[in-house]
Amino acid sequence: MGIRVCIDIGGTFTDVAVVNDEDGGLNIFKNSTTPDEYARGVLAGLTDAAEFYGMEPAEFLRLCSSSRGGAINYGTTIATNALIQQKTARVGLICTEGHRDILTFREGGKDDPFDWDLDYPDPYVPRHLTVGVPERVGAGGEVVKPLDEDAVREAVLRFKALDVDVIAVSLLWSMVNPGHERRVGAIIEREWPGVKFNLSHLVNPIIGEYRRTIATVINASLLPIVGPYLHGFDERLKELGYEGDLSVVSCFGGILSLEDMVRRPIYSVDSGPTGAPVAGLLFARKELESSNAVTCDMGGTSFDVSRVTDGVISETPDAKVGFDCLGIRKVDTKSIGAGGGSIARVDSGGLLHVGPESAGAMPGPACYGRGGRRPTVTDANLVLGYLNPKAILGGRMDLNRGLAADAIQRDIAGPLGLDTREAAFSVWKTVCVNMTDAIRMITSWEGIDPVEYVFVSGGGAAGLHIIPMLKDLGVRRLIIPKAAGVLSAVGGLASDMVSEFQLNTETETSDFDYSGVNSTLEELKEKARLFLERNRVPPENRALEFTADARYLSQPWQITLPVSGSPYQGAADVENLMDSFHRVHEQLRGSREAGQHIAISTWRVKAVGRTPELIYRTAAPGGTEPEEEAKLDDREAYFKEIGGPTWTPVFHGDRLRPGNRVIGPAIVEEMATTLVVFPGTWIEVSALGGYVVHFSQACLER
Amino acid sequence: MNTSPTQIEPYLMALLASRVGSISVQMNNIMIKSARSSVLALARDCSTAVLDADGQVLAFPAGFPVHVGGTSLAGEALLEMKGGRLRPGDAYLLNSPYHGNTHPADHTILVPVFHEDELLFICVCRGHQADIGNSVPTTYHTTARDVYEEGALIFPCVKVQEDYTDVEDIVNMCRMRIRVPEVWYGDYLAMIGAARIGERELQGIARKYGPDTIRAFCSAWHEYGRQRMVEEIRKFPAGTASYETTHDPVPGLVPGGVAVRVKLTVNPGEGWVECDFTDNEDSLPCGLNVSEATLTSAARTGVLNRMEAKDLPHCEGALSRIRIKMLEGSVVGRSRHPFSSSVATTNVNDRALVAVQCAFNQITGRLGMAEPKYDMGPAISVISGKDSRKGDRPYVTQIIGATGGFGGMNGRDGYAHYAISNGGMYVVNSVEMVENQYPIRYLKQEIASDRAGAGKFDGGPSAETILAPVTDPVTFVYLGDGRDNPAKGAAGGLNGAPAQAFRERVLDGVRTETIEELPMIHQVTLPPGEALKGLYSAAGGYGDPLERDPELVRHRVLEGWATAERARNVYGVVLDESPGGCSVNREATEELRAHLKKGRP
Repeated sequence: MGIRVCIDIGGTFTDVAVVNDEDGGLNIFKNSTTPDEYARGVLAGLTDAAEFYGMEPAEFLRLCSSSRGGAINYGTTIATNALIQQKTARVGLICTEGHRDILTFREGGKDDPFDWDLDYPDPYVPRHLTVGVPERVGAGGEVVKPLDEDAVREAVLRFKALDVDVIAVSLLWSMVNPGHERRVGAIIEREWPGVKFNLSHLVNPIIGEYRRTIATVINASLLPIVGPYLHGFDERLKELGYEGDLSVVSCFGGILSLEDMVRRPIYSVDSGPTGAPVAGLLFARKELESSNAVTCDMGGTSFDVSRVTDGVISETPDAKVGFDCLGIRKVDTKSIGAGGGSIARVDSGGLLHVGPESAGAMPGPACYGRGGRRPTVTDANLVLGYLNPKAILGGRMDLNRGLAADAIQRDIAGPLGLDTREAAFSVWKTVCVNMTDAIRMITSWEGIDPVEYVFVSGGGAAGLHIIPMLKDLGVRRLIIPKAAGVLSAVGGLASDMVSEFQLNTETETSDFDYSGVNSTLEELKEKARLFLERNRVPPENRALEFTADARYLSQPWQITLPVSGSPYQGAADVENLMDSFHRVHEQLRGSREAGQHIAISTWRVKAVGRTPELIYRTAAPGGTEPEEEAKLDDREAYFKEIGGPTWTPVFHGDRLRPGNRVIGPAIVEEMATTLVVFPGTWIEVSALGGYVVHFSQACLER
Repeated sequence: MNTSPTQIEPYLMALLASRVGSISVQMNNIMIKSARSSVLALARDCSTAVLDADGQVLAFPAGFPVHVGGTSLAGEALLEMKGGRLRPGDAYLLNSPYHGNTHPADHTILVPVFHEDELLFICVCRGHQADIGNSVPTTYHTTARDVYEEGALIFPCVKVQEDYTDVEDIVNMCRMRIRVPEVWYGDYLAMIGAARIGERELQGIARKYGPDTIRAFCSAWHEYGRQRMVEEIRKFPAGTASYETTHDPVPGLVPGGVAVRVKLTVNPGEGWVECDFTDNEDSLPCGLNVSEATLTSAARTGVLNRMEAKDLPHCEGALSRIRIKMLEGSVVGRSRHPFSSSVATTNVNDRALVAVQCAFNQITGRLGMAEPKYDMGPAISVISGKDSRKGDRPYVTQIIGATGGFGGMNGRDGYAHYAISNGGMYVVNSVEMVENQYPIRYLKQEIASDRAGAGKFDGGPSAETILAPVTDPVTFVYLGDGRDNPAKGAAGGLNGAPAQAFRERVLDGVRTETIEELPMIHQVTLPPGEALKGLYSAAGGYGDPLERDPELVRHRVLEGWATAERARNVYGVVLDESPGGCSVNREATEELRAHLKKGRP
């Protein structure tokens, strides 16, 4: 029996998700996160899991080893936390003379043009640790001025004297001609043997000096932190009996081997939410045989949305950390401040706002009775009758409806001149609208029709809002999986080994550089092959996905385009490339210029080592009608579209059987979540124990 | 209690406000990401807005302040000229500064949005074009004596699409007159595409909620904006203030420079602010005359910059609480045909904006501001020529480099990234992307030391930029302000360093030496082997530099924004060198500061 484990460390809980090959049963073990030493919370979860399976921890861990067909995938927040708390290592940066302020200027672009009451953010590497060395390479890769090696030596010795932890090197045009950067690397090795350093053409070889440089310095600043941490954790596991290779969840929607992650720690930044789209795809495929999925995750403070199109997780080159770009591509997650704890308020002009301010866990919503006086989304859901005052967290905490109603009356109903229930409805509806807009950002804003997608919803609070939101968007297919509360951990279990390699070869379709492009593609294939081989991915599980960044001539933004990866043989192949660009441009940007030539700069391959398919246990089916034991007491809930307060049947989710149908209006309660089945919709329990939501034709008429 | 006169349920109000706002943002994103020219795509010199059926702005995203503050004027012009004849599928092109547009370089697409036969909204997409067919290869024709010498095609709400199809005649005319027609047409498609997506989304809302609800929402939304703005104005003390600032001379045309005067009145009791520009000179025979739209934007932006609230709705209901008085036929007023307003969005208009926000210093110290850097220096030249690397392909484009910052403020240093007309929204070009696309090389782009206006709170620093033609001669056109009249300090703060430009000789591929100083409003063609060097105007400081926290002075010396001599001479801060940096000598600093204070008149 092989056991697969994914560890997901969140702000509050450390989830250990476990699947064993024998019966495919998924089990989740939750422990408190232990910020002083994360490994403690993780080991507690692993110990719980071993106990559950009736094993000694050592035996359990042995079965997790890859030699036994198991795996441990580790989702760590160590890099993200180091960035947020500004506890990264001290970096010395060597750049081209005359260009020391690349990290200060960034890309400009202040978002609010009327707000001046703010400080200009400091550069990621201060200027006194940035040294410009005389050298210059031109746009065609030609050496305009040879590298001044004495200046490099001086810089290295200066960094040594200043005791920096790590050196980053980012010279202009190094992705076209890396000669000077390589030479700087050799000088560093000679002058300061043993110091860690990163060269930009190896970390992030893209055109655009800011993004190449910022990725290089962020990566460098994490080298001394992530490596020791992961190695330390790996050693603990090995002491306890684990025999395999630890894999680490990356922000790229897959996993990397420990050694690859230690070299490229930037790929562990913000990797937390990236398991969600993997899980979304998993459920969309298993439940509804679709490879197009939008995953929505609503918790206490934020609502995260991600998208998978044709089985490919949507990525963004524009991810930010604080005031800086991350510089590398990562899974695209749109996140807005909307969750159960989001605070509602009415401004001085009488307009209702919900979020992004959150009451957090302390004091929490008014109904928690912990001293919170401001009304939240959870308070509104309680007043509307959607939430059961008795059942939340498995009955561990009661909710005080009186306190919720008071807060809504005082802050919302009074100022708006509404009754309490109408006010609660307004709060509920407003947060729905905000979240619907976040879905639009990753669908219709990108030329994607949400109607063609399966929606997968997770997180503690989503079930209270998701159905009417999707009704508004005209969506017809929605799954709320059984493991809705831990989508990221489930995604981590199913993640493939994924890495990306890119090279810069600028060409225009009017004068296509066949040999340059074809040899670039060959080189990429070779890099991918080495990566997959190093990670011992069997040939049948390997996949390569090629893309290129292209633009209309003189257009400053590029779009990323899927390409075949086969060599370009002649005009017909280039025509195909252009056609595909025109098509994608029209879809994303709403316009096409037939006949115009395009320029391509960056070529890239994503090397995928597929993980064996996750086996998932199915439960014995029941009839259409839920059994009597699944029914709980009816309660009054508010449904505006059918006239307001309505006596509504309530079901116990754990007692529903596959095949059971529940027709709205109805409420399904589970230990950590509640699903409101709105009028005009019904749900069916699937073989995997998830809920598939159906929308009646009438309610889809927009 | 919500006192809005029109009945609309509160949740619908929040819902429609959010939808309309997000549609205007979506239009903006599409336009930026699909644009061809860097000025539109990277400088974000473009804007979108959703107007109601009366042509009044309901929502604009965070667009360039100089564009959006006066967008209602464009809607009003369309309705006045074409009112009864608008049809679904129409699109109109407006660039006439005499008809509510900013300046001719901004092509504005207006799309009327219908629900069945009823006009409910107007979508507006506006973008600064790479070229508009001026008589010289720049979209900013400073020395044009009139609109005829300026030379651009002027479109006073001209129909460019009917039944969702281009009116080919107009497109063909533009293709004949505009220097880089495929870039222009690409940007045109980007604007049309964005407006049509806005139209589709707004029609969806109209279908879903019905025209009655939409109309009720529009008037309730303006009323909401009015209330919020009145509330905000009530936070100011009552008062009147005057401010005068002078744009640099234009050699041969305006030898004395252009004085810009405003009289500001704040009436918190009634909840309005008035900016009176009627005491200004007549229109000038050059391109610097502002337009009604830009001056309206300047005044409104100047006031918004002094407000604390960050979430004010920027609808006409709110913005109309900022009243503007101007004369027709004044250089700081409504432009009169055929005087040229080629440069209406920057330069003199920038001075007007600064005059408004700095006039507030006489009314309140809250958010007190020194003058910011002045714009349009060599770092953001319009460049043109042919690129022999690409088969002699011709190009005209504005490059957008690093420039300078906001004035020192009462409470914090000036933000280091700013342009007056766009509120710092512009994106700085990637050096590599520019070098890839045009035959030009950035030999240097760095913050220059000792240029920021010193104060208790320093002004934003300024950049030094050296641009060298690589394979072919390059023509640079720039019109920098702030050399003769640099950014003034406030409340005892010092002025920022003046702007300068130089012709340089390239020595070893990278370093340069000066051949001569160049004028700041200038057109010059340089061959490979020479370079254009620009020192951007730096912002003024706020408050007495002798009161600046010595640690902040030390930090700027450490980072190379200031020298140790300047720390000593201007801030009275004595620094001791320490390994890898420096530290403040407290005693010597106190002594020096006391001495410097005593020596003052």
